[in-house]
Amino acid sequence: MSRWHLDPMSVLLLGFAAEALPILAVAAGPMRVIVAVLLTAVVPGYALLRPMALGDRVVVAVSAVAASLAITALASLALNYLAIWSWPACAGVLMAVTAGAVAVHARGAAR
Amino acid sequence: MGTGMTTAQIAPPTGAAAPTHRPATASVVASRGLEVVAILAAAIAVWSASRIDIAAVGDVGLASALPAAYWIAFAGLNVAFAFALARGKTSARTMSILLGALVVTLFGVAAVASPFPRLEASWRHLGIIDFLARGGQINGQVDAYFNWSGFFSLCAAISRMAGLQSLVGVARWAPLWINALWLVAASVSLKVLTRDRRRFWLGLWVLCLGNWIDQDYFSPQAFAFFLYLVIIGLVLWGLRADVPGRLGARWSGIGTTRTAVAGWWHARRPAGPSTSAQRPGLVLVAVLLGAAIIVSHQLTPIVLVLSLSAVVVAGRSWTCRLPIALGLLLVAWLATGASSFLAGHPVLSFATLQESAAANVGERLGGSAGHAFVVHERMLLFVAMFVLAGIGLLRRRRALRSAPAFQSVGMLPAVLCVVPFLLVPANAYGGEMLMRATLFALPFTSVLISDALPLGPESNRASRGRRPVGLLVAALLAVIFTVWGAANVLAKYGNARFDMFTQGEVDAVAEMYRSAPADAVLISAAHPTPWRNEHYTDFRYTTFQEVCRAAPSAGSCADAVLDRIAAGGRGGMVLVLRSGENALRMQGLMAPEDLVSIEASLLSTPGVELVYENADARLYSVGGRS
Repeated sequence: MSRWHLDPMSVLLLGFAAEALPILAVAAGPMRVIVAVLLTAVVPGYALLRPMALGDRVVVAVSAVAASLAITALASLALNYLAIWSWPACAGVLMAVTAGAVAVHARGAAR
Repeated sequence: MGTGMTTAQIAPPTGAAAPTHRPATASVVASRGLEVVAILAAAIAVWSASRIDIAAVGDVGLASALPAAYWIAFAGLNVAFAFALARGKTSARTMSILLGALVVTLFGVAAVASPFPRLEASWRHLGIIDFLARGGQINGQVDAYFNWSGFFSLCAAISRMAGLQSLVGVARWAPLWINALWLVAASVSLKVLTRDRRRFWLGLWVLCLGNWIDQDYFSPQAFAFFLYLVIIGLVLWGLRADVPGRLGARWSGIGTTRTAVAGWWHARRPAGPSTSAQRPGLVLVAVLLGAAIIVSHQLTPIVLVLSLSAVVVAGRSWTCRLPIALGLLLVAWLATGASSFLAGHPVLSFATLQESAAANVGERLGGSAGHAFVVHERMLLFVAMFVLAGIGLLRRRRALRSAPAFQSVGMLPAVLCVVPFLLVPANAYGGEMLMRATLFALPFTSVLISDALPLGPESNRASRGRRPVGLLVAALLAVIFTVWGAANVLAKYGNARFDMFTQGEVDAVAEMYRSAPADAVLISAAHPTPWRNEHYTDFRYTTFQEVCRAAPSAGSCADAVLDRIAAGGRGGMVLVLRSGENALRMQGLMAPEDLVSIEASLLSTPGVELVYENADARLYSVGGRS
């Protein structure tokens, strides 16, 4: 039996986490804005909440946005205090959080 | 045969099919009609706001400049909502569209009327974000903002990732998207705290109508309040508990107070829809959000810890660890990240009732007749809201007797309403504590007010949403909503003559940055001024209000201004804007003729010259100009 179970949403989230930084680096205009907003205000929080299977759509939506913004704020501030702030570094942290949360969900789903 | 056969085919086989089909069609038509009214009302409101000339706004603010079409559209929207409530079975989609139209109508007006963000604070916040986005280091000595930089750091990251050089456009539309976020977040709590579907929507409507407090601009407060609402929502939705029986009843038996409390506490049972596997995760999410609040805003974490503690003390929380964890995080942040600011500014500094009243109310009452009218109207709104909330509380208490299942959360709105006001005597917060407390209480005040409004008794879950109210009650509600909403517009935008900015003013500030020598002293006539959105730490900023505090006359004020610039040693610029002139005059801080005298005194001084002028601004250079 596999130790990991990746459902389609997990694959989508992992794909986004992997592609976000390259897209942000080369894209411009509305595409870049959309990817930036998804990465900072939607995806990490949603990935974090998925293992909890909360059920209520409004609770999930509002918590995902709030958690994503909280993670971005804390990550960006930590980089500021460490004097290594840059937007790619911040994006990297958010991508790592997303990938980690997807991994936790995939392990839980495999059990 | 033909006729009979046809009739038989057209007629329904039983009495059931056709009667249910027809009302369903009528209901869909009515719902679509309400949606069209909502969209039309919002469109007319936007069109009306786009015709406003900011420079022509009077002392009572934006309300005086809005055309009749706006008010007709606004009234129509409120009538539509009252009718939707009266129908009793309006879909969530229709209600959401009506609510969205109200948000646009109430909170989008200023953004449509002016291409720039309202309020000086919005511009200042943009400046800190610009500073951080350019790689600036956080230095707690600069000002209070740098001790709570979470929101600014967040925005710096988003702006750079999105490739945006400026967030002026985002800040301009902030009231719109911030209110939308607040509403969705508050809806989680309101869903738990109201048993009746109509009162849920009514509570959200009242939340909009009651939000004249003007804290929904681009700010750490708005961000922190959103996270606060989410945490309270998560606690009420997934972490709430029910206690069988009252604490007092346990004293009647044998045992000590300690055992009675312990027994009461351990008797709690989870009451929300979450499972035992989800609850620890919800606590962790709440701690994560709480941590973001703690590093972003000075006041919100204190209110959050107090509110969560109150829910725990009321026995309505499954865990007491959440307020303890957040309290420890708060203390840790105050001792580290915010220690620079706290060195000279204690978190709590209890004032007497008189001092507190003077800071929060008395000092706002002076000024022009129009401004005084708006300030008094705000006080009236404040009192009216809490009188209505009190009536709602009494009605809710009576209703709870017949709904024991609802008692686990029944009185929580009152608890969450009262807690923020405990801070009013504890810290004046620049004279804004009463307004901030009103903001924190607002969602829960709205729940109580929705109980006070004439909608008939709350129906139980089985019949929720199906009890129509009479047309008379709907008409009464429409009148109440329209009058209340108009009062909201008057109160919220009452300072528009000095807190909204024109192109001429923004151009003058841009010219000031082009002309000012490095590290110069920049002096504006008054707050608000649309500045510091760039070069946040590159200049020393002040105003006539601050420099001339001890100056007895216009002449001595001009001397104080020149002395302040000379003390800086790098020259300076003096900026007199339309908004500043109006702020000084309307708030009774300086007579218009005194301002004219100060400018004349400045111009008669060697080394001072008028370097830029337009219809809304004058810019003077004082010595050392590059």
